[in-house]
Amino acid sequence: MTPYGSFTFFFIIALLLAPTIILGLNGRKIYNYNIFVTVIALALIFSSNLNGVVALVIFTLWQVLLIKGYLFYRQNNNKTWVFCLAVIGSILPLFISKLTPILGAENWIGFLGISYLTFKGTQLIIETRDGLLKKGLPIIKLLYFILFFPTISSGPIDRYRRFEKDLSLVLTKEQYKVMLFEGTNKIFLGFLYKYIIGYYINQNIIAKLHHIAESEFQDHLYYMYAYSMYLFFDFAGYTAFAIGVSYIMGIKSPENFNKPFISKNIKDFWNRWHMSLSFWFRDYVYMRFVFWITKNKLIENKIVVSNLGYILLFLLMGVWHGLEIQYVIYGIYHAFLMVAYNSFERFNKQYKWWPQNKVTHIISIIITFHVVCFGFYIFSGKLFH
Amino acid sequence: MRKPLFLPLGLAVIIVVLIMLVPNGYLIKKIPDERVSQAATELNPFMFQGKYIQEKMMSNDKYLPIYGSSELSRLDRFHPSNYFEVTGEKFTPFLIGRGGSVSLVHFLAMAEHKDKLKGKKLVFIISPQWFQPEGTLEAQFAPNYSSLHGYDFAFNKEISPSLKKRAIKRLLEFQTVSSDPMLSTLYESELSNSKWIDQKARIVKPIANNYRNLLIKKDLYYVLLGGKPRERSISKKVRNKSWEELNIMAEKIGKKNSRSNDFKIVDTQYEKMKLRVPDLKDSKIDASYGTSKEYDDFQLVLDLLKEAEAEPLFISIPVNGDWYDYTGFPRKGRTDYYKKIRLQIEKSGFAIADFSDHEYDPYFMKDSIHIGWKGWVYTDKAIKEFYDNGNIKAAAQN
Repeated sequence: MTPYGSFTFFFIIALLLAPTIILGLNGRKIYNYNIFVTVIALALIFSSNLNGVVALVIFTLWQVLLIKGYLFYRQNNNKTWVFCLAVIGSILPLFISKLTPILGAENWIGFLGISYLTFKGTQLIIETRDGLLKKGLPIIKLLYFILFFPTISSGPIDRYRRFEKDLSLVLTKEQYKVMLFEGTNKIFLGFLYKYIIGYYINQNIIAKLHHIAESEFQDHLYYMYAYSMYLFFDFAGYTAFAIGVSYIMGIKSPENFNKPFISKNIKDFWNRWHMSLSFWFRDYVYMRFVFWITKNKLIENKIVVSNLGYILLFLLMGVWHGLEIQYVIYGIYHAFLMVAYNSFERFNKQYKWWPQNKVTHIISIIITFHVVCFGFYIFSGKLFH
Repeated sequence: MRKPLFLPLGLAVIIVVLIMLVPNGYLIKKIPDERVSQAATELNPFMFQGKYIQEKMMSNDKYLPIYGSSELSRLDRFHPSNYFEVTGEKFTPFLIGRGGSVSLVHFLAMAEHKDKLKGKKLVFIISPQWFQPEGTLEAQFAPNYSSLHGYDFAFNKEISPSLKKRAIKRLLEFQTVSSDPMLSTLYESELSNSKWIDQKARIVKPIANNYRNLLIKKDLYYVLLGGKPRERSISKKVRNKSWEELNIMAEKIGKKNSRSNDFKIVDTQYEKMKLRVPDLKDSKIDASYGTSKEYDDFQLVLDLLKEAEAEPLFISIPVNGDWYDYTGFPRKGRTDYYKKIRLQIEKSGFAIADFSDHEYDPYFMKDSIHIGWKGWVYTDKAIKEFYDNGNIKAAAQN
């Protein structure tokens, strides 16, 4: 059953969460019951596909073994090559599952959500290396973190230390009431986004483009904007469901969107669009890269280092979506934008060519919007098929 | 932090529950009498996907259902709905179908009312462009598929098991159906002998039935709301004219309205597509309608109508020959289709009006694939003959 894909799914989840809500509203601990809910929900989500279940179990075992093994090793040693091996190991299943379709082979290793679960595993390895997981990792909490069902298929990507903090809190009646209220609001916002606005755009614009457009060019142009809007409302709607259900289960999953279409530049955009993903790449790829280069004094020029960091980040992010050509080009496109914007920002600091006022602010938003939509147009793959 | 406020949510739930609890009988009483006759030419997708109106229409001898696709919305003065209204015929055409309403969609709609199909006359217009090699695609099927029809089909006991199984197998190929957990469980239990699936289906059945009742109620609400009337160009000038005179009139109107191009495509349509025309030249040299999944779907329709003992007239329409030649679509890819579909219909013993030799007949087609003008005159003639005599003189259309 696709998470949040059918009325039935919501109905079953509502039934499953009824005891959580009752416990929560009475100020009781909901953690143990929620583990039970997660097991049932996982069974429902994966029940239609036995291969998926097997792949998920193997993947989870592999990640847990890696993390536990590396944690054990890290207590007394800290060799870089071991760390690198552990990171490679944690990305390996995702890599294979992205590669097999390209090679035309059967994707036996992939399952719904593998891209997102990989982030959780890799993140734990990196934080272990940093010595941030001193308290150790109780196996149940670790599994619960990796397999937390509301966010299993497409995020938002949570961080273990944040997640663990939520778990250890026992909410008072009043606190839970607020969480429940906010969660419910988010779920209904999700209905509006995904099943009213997104659905409308898809049914009445995208599906009917060949009636609306009068030429190939118009077809592609309208598609670019319609698809951008659809992508946002569909994904933001899904995210609202995921966060809403998390809230009801007492977990404050991080936000993913913050009005991305009013970004004033491309940097601002990546602080507002798919935030949990871009922050992950920022913290675990960009920052590490810049730090590593500076520490080893490989490149002196700070600007070059930062640009290289962005290029690395966006190429990886592109490829993470899949190895298909549109995702690679999407990554290159955003890497280029980021580097170009970096240069522009420095240029502007020096020459004050683009003043800061209300008018330029609005113009910046309009330019960024179109540039971003063109990115989604690349992402959609319509150009390549 | 916002103050938690649950009252609006509770109120919303109460309102929804109340709407769902209104008895069907009460809703039906509120439905105005003229809804069915209005619906005949509204081409309202909610009606296509609904139940109540089609049921009323099926049990009323006055209505002659015409199943088809996008050509039905070409409502010029020769269109059956307009023509027969002006000439005061004793039957009223009832239009069902829009772009993407392929065999499988009509099959489900007809299966709803199988018990009322016995001896019912109906018209079925087959479009060549349905017969793409891979048949109807998810993107076309999904917006035309009706959950209500899908669920009703699962509970349908009128249809023979073998036909039901064939249809279910085909339906499950669509994500719209297979991703519906309840419906796919019910369908799969019809196909397999597995005890586990049967057990699952037994649990799902009562819930599915409730859901189905909800869809029935939803349909009644849509009927209550009604649809929008279509813009029709009705002209009294078609009254008391011989078929020959009508043909001449249709050619005249066609000529006047398709001056912008050599394909005799109506100007309004050509205006919309003219920028694409150069790209389309010789773009279809490998195409053919000769082999397609759609043939099997169409066979489902034939078998259903056979079982139901209905009296259908099938109309095999051509494509615009000049345009298809321009796109490089091989002639064989078209003639193979015309022959095959004719044979398929003749095999089941139903009446057919075969217009396939009108590919190059000027103004028979209104654009590249839709009949209009003269095409409708021929259709009217075939329908009239079929309605009066129960059959038509096969192939004597020229």
